[in-house]
Amino acid sequence: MKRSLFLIIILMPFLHEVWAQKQKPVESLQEISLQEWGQLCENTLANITVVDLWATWCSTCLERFPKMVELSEQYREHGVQFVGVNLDDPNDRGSVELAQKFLTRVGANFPQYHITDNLMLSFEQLDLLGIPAVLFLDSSGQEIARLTGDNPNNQFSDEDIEEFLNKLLDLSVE
Amino acid sequence: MRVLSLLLVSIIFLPSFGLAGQYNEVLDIGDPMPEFGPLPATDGSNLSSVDLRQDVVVLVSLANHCPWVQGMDADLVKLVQDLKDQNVRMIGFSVNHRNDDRLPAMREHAKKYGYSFTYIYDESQELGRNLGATRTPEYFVFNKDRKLVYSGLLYNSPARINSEGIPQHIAGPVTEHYVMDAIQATLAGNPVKVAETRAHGCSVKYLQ
Repeated sequence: MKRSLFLIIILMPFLHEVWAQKQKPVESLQEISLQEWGQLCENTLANITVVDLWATWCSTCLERFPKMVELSEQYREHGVQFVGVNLDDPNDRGSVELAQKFLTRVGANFPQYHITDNLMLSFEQLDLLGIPAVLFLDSSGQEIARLTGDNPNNQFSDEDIEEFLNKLLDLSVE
Repeated sequence: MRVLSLLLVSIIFLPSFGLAGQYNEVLDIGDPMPEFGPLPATDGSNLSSVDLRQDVVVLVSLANHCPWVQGMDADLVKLVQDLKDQNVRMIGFSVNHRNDDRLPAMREHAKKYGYSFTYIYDESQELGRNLGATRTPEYFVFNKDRKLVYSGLLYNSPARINSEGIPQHIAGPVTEHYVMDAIQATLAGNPVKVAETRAHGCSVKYLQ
């Protein structure tokens, strides 16, 4: 009995954390077309929107995702809105389901959209060579910068995302 | 003033140096093939660019773990088979540092998928960097003068291993075979009609 009580006391902080995590709402993938995505960008209410482009077939995207969750939380009070755009093949429903399971597992805390248009068209319309890629939009939904892996000699890191956001926020304060 | 400052910050943080090719930040059509080697291959040999004597050389960036590579492996193997009587050399290369993309795993992958072409590993990643290769698979076709005549997709409907473990094309049946067309045009001494396409696949993992 004493031993059980001791275990409960030891595990209390951990159990509390697990419970708190369970209580956090997890974002569900919303299916939209490229056209609807464009409209959504135009109607953004945030000062700065950070768009995380990802897919379950992109291992680097999945590795980076927890950091995006952390940054979303960190910059929320500064008026920065994070948005995820999932680029799994819309014709492979199993992949889209996997994407949703992944979001639940990592506790995605910012809106998530799945593009329903053909994947090749999505890459073309979004002018992407590859993912992961992070886009920065201003308050009118215009893209002001992007971080990509398009140049082998100029890859981006998690720190680059933070650094860029800090620069933008400094300007907002001015 | 704020708009101007935003613009300045954006320029500072723009990651690209501008495109050299339509879809490549390093290499453009007509640029020379980067020299490489000697690099270790899955068959135990070493390969250098100076060893290549064929009329056409095709370099393709690969990564064992990538579902796009796996989804198109059979078609790559078939392409090499179809070219066996022509003076063409296909070379696959990997530059990733993940264990499942390194040489020991490459040997297993080559065996499993029946690779009948040289598959080399570049720990330094220089070959990939010098080609501007950012996705797997991504094809680079060079002519006899070792000038780039084509870069991009294998064909116009890339395939990946889907959630059920089978290859699935994402844009319907294949109707245009870009790499084969570029090779045949080059062997015949003709210009390549479609010289650049947007390669589709996993990102190459370069060290910063």
